[in-house]
Amino acid sequence: MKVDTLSDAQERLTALQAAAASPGRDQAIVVGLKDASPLVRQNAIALAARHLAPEVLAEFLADDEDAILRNAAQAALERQGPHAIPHLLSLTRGADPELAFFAVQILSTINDVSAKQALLPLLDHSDRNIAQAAVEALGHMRATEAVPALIRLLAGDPWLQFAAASALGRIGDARAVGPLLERLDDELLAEIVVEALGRMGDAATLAPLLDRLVSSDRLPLRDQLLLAVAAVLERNPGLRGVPARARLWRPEVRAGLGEYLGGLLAMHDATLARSAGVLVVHAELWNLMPALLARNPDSGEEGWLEGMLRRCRRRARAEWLPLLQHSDPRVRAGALLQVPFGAGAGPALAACLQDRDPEVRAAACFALGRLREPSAASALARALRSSDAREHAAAAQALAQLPRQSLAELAPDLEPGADEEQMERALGVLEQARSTMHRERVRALVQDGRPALRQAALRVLGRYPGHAADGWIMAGLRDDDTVVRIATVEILVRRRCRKAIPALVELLSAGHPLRYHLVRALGRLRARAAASRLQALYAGAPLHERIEIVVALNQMAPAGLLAFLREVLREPDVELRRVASDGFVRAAGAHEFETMVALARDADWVVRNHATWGLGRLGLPEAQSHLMLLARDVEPLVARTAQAAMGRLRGNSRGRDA
Amino acid sequence: MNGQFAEEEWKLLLDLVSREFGLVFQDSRRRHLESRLLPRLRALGLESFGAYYRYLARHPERGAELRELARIVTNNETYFFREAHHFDLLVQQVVPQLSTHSRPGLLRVLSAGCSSGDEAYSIVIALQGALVDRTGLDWQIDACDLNSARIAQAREGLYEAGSLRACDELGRSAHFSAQGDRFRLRPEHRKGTSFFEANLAVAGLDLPGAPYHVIFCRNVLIYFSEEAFHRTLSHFHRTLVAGGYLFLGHAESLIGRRNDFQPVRLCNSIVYRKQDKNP
Ligand SMILES: C[S@@+](CC[C@H](N)C(=O)[O-])C[C@H]1O[C@@H](n2cnc3c(N)ncnc32)[C@H](O)[C@@H]1O
Repeated sequence: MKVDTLSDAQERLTALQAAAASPGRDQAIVVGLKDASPLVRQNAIALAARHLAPEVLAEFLADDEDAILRNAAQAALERQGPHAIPHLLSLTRGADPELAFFAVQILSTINDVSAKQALLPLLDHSDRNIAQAAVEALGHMRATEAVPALIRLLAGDPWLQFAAASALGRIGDARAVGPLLERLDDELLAEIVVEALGRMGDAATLAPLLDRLVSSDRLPLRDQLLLAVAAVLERNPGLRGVPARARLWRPEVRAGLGEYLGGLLAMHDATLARSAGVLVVHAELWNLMPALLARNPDSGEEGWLEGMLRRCRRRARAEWLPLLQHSDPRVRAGALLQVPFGAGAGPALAACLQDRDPEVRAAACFALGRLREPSAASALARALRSSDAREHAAAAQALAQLPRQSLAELAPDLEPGADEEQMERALGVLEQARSTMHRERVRALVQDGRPALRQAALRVLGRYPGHAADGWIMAGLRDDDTVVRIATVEILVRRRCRKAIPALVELLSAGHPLRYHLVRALGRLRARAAASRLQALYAGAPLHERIEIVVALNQMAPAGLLAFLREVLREPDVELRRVASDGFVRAAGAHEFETMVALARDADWVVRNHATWGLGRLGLPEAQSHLMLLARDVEPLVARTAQAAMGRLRGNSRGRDA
Repeated sequence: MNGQFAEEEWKLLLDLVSREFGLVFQDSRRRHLESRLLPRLRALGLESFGAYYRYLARHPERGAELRELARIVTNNETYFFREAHHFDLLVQQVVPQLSTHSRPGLLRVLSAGCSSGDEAYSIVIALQGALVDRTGLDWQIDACDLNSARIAQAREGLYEAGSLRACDELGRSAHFSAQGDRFRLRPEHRKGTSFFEANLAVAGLDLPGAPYHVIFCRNVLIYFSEEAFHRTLSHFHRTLVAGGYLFLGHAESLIGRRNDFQPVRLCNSIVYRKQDKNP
């Protein structure tokens, strides 16, 4: 086989994986660590972490010639975690400064408490590179024990000042605030100090940071100041009354800031724009509000602006109406969604339901929902009939939030002659609202000729309180339409309706696709009474059902489960073995230790992960050596589970000692 | 599986997506992806990502669900004349070269990862604009994508305004007719195109129109795992004629990653030419 061309990365990977089980393994791994393809290298790194001794890997750290190999060895040592720590610590004390330097860096990434104390003396190392690496490592590890020494370094060797300021910011200990503030006007250090203070977010730093933000015109520094000021304001929501904020009201300050912030809001950089937004709200620079509202929030950030604006509710209310008239629909929609409005806003909101932009109409629906104003019901019911998907979805959500009686407006939508889609939407609202209105109509629809309506009506009944509706719902188990039957099963499980268990068991004789759902339902209901029936079905069931039978039995935890799972663990299908190992490690006691250890050596990483967790759960001291090996498993997730399990074991042994 | 093994369930799901489609995801996308998957869980009546994973792994209807999944996990961002210089290069440099060297008579092009067809139709419009058909050269543009909904849209030829963002007023009216607030591609620009679903990341991919003279695969490989990247390029190598061209997106490069394609600079852009594996 010709293995030296780049396009053969896949072949080289296959060769490496084959070699991993052969006598030439270690040599093959080292060759893999030097491979030009990241694909091969990543695999070699995982194997190296598992099979090569830290001493061997550390040799490569000294290799100046081959940077690829050195980096790969570093990555492998990082993955070894606790296993590599003793050797790395010895390297930090050794004669070779380069090795010591790399060792500190790796220890930093491993981030194990046991290394913190050992790194402290290195802060005063005569080799400044090593001292700096130690500063960075302790910062990364958030080592509060290093704070006094780091403060000392802040006033010392310029080489280390930067690193010390940054590390103090990461650690976030209040003792560092004063010393950092003292360095704020140091030309060279200013930026890093500001960044550190922003990270710490201490209220006492607001005034000095704000003063400099207003007066600064050095650009990267000014942006850094903005980020820091915004961080402090966000961290301390109670700062509204502090004197520092009064600065924000001076006209010259507002003018200077306004231009700068307006520019940022028009930019793509989301972080700076968000910080600018914080200032806009805190300084109540309302002329910039349209620019802020027109920005599309990143997904997951939607509630942020709304939360901030709630803090200046009074002013926001006063400025709100003009925003609804803005020419940009994004601003109108933003004003409806983000700006808090008062109780009397109903008419203005209702007017927005006529907006020409569907996005704005949908936003108006949401806003009316928040207002919970019954008088909005008929307008929202009209919006529910809209052909625009955004609008009718928003109307449905809003209607569901209104006081109960408002849903009387839905009567025409539920009438026998109404359009099917319209009926479905109305039923959807009743379901969301957990409403029992239109009860007779809903019951009638459970027997409608159209399956979609029967299903929607059953969902409404599914939300009824108490058990009175159970009988009606269980009738859905006998529906002609399988989709309706499956939906009924799900509804019953959601209601935790144990009364339905016998009926569900009886239906098990039905075939695909219902049985799959029944099995899962019985498991979720923890219907232990059904366990023997499920076990009996197991042998003849198709694979996907067998998997769910095992999952269900795990949930029921019946007597004899371990013996059953032991059998399943012998099956060839990996998914079956995975769910079996999951149940096994949860149910097994100390006498299963050996089986657990065997599972921890399984070829499949999921099985190993379960066993690793199980070893931690048992908490036996003899698990330590096994976990040490698992902590450098080729699969990083298993390694993490092992490290957590070791932490648990350590906790146990401390408990025993005490 | 539950609680303790949430990370494991998520990794199983991501590994499956990577194995099936070649796509990898940053951790930072997790929340977004989860929220997009939840409606699928709801539709199937499943209560957890673990149950969803098992469905995708072993349920007899997994094939249909994988197609649904493909619609969710793919980023289909595209528009007409994206990286417009590529279309100029194609008609001004590549086509003349190919027709002098091999006189294909029929120019065969693949648009791999074509999304809603904007790229494939841009190729046709460019060829027609350069009056290539008057030279006696005909073309076949095959276009494939993993996402069945996008293929359906490509066949339909109906586009939102965003798809035309790189077209000026003239281009808009020349190549499209307005239909409500959308735009329908004029029928003459469909000439020679054929759209089909295909997964570039599978082993043994069979492409009906091979061998191709040119492959466009732009803004697809950036989402691929290292393995899928190599597998796909091996497909391309296999299905290109000797000396055939490969066009990649501006953020994608083969330099240092494959030596079976030779980078060539054409008018300040890099495109790739197939090289024989063992010259
Ligand atoms: C960002 S779009 C690029 C579209 C077009 N090539 C362009 O540059 O504008 C990427 C496309 O690749 C498709 N894709 C992703 N994985 C794929 C796979 N394994 N096989 C085929 N297509 C795939 C996606 O569905 C999506 O439509």
